[in-house]
Amino acid sequence: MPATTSSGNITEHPLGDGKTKIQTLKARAVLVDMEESVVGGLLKGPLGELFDNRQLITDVSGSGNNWVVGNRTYGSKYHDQIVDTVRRSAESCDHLQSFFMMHSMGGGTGSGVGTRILEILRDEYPDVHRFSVVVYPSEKDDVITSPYNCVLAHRELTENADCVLPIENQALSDICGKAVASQSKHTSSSARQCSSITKDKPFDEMNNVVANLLLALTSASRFEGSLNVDLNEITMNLVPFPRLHYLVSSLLPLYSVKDVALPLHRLDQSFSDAFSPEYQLIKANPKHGLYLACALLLRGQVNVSDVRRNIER
Amino acid sequence: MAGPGDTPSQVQGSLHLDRAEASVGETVGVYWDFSDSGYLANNRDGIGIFEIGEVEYENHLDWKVRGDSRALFGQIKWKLMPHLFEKHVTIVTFVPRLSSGHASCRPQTRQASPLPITVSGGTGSGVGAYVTERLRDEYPHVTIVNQVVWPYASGEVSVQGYNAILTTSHLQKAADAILLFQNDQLHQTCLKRLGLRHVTFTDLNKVISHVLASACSPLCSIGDLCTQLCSHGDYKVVSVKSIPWMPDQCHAYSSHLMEPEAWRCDAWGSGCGFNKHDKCCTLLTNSQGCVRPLNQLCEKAWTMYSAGAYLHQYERYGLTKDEMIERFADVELMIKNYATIT
Repeated sequence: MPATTSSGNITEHPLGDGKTKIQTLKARAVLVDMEESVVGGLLKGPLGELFDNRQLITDVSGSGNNWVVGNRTYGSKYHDQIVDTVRRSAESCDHLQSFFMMHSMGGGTGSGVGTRILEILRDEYPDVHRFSVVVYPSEKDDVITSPYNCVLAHRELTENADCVLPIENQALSDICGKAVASQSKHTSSSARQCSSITKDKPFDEMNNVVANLLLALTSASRFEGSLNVDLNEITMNLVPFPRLHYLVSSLLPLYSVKDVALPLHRLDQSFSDAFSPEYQLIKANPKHGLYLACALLLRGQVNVSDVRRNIER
Repeated sequence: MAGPGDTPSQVQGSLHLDRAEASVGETVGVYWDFSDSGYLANNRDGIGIFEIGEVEYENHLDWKVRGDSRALFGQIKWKLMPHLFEKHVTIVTFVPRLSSGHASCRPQTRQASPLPITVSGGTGSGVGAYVTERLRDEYPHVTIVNQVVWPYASGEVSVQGYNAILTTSHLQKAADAILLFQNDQLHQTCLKRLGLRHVTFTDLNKVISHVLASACSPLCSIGDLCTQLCSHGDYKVVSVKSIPWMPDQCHAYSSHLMEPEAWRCDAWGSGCGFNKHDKCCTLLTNSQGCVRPLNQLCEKAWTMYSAGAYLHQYERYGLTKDEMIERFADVELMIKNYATIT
C-alpha cells in the first residue's frame, strides 16, 4: 500500500495481517489555523503522529473573529504557501477524487481562510470535487460577529463548493445527549463513565458524530459492496441545480448496538427515523418544505428486498 | 467450379444469375431452385457473394440482405453497397455452397454473444453503449445482442431516467436486438416464485443468467433467434419470460406439466433437461410488453428535463440540450412504434 512517510518519500508498506498499528502513515491533510494553540494541542495528542510538520500552516495572532481578516489579509499572505502545501499532498495521490474542507462558519479563520482556500482549490483544480463540511453556529453562540461571518462565507460556498454538508452544534449536542441517555438505560455504570467523559472533552463526542458521517460517506470508496456509491455519484444525484448544493444529513444509529443482527422492525424503524428531525445534524424540518432529491446510504448487512420494501412504504 | 447459368453436378437443381458483372450500386438478381433434389438444407447452407481463393470464405452481404439461407428455391435481388465492394465486381464463378460435404470449407459464421449492460448508472449505460457502437463500426456483419437491465420503477439513482433514454437511443441504432430485463420483475420472481425472503443482487443476476442460458438452446444460437424476432429495424426490443421457477426445495417433488401457449410461435425444442428442471421453456417475444416500462421512465425523465434538473451535470461533460432532445425523440418514436402495432 503506497503511503507518504514522515520524511515525505512515498514507500510501499506491506499490509501484513492487518492487525498491527499504523506507524509511519500520514494523513493526506493540510491543517490551517491562524493561532497555534489548537494545532499544537493536536500534535501533542494521540493523533499527533498522523500529521506531518510540513502540512501545517499557522500564524500567531488569530483572525479576531473577522471574516475580512481571514479571507483578505491572511488569505493573500499565505496564498503561495497554501498552494504549495496542497500541491505536495495532491501530487502524492494516484488518483485525486475530491477535497474535503472542514471548517466553522462563525469564526474568522474558519470562514475567512477556509473560503479563500476553497477559491484557490477551484482555480488550481477545477475538475476535482470540493466537499465542504461546515459547522454553522447555533442560536446560543459565543461569537457576536458570527452572523456576519456566516453570511459572507455562505456566498463563497455557493459559488465555489460542489457540495456542502452543514452541521449545527446544537443538533450535535442534542444527539450526544440522546446517545448518553439511551446508553444509560442499558447499564448504569457506563452512564457515569459517559457523563464524566462528556464533562471533560465535550467537543470530542460531537466531533465523533461528524467523523462517523464522513466515514459513512466514504465507505463505498474504501470497501467493496453490491451497489457502491462513489462520492461524485452523491454530487451527481443530489444536486439538481448548480447553486442548490446544500445537503441535510442524518445519521443512524447513533450508538453502538450490542446486538449486531438488527431485527426487521428495527431496520424499518431506522428508515423512518432517518427522515425525522431528531437524527439530523442540523436543526431544520425538511418535511415542511419540498424534497428535491434524497439518498439513503446503507452500510452493513442490508438486503435489496429490505430496501425495496421500505422505499415503497 | 460452375459459371453463371450452370447447374452443379452434385445436386440436381438450377441456379441463375442475371448478370456476370456488376458495378457498385447496381442490382444482381439470383434465382435458384433445388426443391426437386431431395436435399435437406440446414443452417450452414449459405447464399451470398463469397470471395474465392482463400481458405475461409466470407459472405460479403449483410445478413439482412442475404435472405433465408435454408430456402431450397427462391429469387433475390442484391444491391451492391459501396462500403462492401470495390467499384466494379466481376462475378466470375458461382459455386453452390451446400454443406453435404462437397464444399471444401465452410462459411465462417460470426456472432456475438449477448452484451450485458445496465441502463441506470453511468458506467454500464455509457460505456456499454459506446462499446456497442464501436463493435458495430468494427464488425458491421456481426449480430450484436444487448442484454439490458431496466432499473426499479421506484428509483435506484436520481438520474436513471436520463441515462436510460440516452443508452436506449444509442442501442436502437447500434444493436440488432435488445433483450429487456426489468429489476422489478426479477425481484418479484425471486420473492414470489423462488420464495426467497432476502433478495440480493446475486439472486437477481442468477435469474438473468438462468434465462439467458436456457434461451441459448443447442439448436439455434441466441443471435439467430434475435435476428428472426427483430427483422424490422424499428422493433428491436425483446421481452423474455421463462418457466418453470421454483424454489430449490421443490425440485425433487415436481414432474412438471407444461402449460399450453396461448399463441403460436416458432418453437425450438431440445431433448435434454436444463438446470435441474426436466422441462424448461423460455419465451422470447418482440411485443408491446416493453411499452409500459419504457413509457414510465420516459415520462419521469421528461418531467425532470422540463424542470431543467441535473442538466448542468451533463452539460459539464459535453452533452448539449439539443442532443438530449434528439435522444428523447428517438425513444418516444420507438415507444410510439410499439404502441401502435395492430
